[in-house]
Amino acid sequence: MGMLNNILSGGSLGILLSTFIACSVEMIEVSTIVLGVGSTRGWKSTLIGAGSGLFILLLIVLILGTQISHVPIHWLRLIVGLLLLSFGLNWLRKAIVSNAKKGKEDEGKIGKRKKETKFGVDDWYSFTLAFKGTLLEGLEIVFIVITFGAAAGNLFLSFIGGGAAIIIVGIISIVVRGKIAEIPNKLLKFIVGILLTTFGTFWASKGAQVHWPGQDVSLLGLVAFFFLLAFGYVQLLKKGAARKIHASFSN
Amino acid sequence: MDNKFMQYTKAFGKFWYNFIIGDDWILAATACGGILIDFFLRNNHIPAWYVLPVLLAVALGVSILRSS
Repeated sequence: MGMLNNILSGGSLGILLSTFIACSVEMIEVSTIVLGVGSTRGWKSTLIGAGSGLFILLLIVLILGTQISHVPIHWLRLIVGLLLLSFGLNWLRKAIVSNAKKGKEDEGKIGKRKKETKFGVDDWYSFTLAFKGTLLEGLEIVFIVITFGAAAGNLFLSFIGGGAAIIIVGIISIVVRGKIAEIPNKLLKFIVGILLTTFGTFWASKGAQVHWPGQDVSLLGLVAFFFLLAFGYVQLLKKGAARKIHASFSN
Repeated sequence: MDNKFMQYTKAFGKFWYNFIIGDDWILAATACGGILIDFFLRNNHIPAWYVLPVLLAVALGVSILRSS
């Protein structure tokens, strides 16, 4: 009872809530990537990638313990962000061109899967995307739990807040997975392209220690920006604007 | 043994080339260039958050034009 009273006291609730919210944001980011890539490229390799990222993360935590907060995470953000961004931009470009075409969806290269399997993985692109995302965001969650807990002098409560975020967002992701399957494939690939480009831009910039107004909230602005941009390019392509511009440059 | 190692190295290199460069090198080049500009602006205490999105918007348009 004493422990419950302690948890429910104002300061303790503050640690719980702030850790929960901060960790939830990171969990949503990784869930979005895993759901998006899994839904469009296949679940097996994606989940093996996510599981591998989690395994490496556990090893790092076991080896470094609380010293993990001294790891210069911004370099990892920069590398992972740039890799995600490069891949996401190519994906988005193909999705824009595909959505501008009339008729049946173009499976093209976005949905292409390698038949060769190694270590149970038949699609190393989805493995890599899920692995990087899980490792990076997992590290950020660990950072949040340790730094919030250390600042408040209560690592136990920040651990509870972080754990709750992982479990709740994880359950929501599993529920949402079924709904995602109902989205038309062409549209889904378009959305995933926007999300990969958004997260890649955000993480790479954060890795360069650029300050984003509103921090993680600016992700929403970035999503809106890339959505409007991609939608605009689709409309221009549909109207044949690209060919006209190309022709005018050639003359 | 050497052959297998070379095969593996080639496949590894090809995977990362396709992952990063894909169908158009301009996109990856713009991403890297944008980050370098971010570093420069940040070191000079100039807000830089808008640089990468704007550069990428232009690069995406150029890439789509090249592919059409």
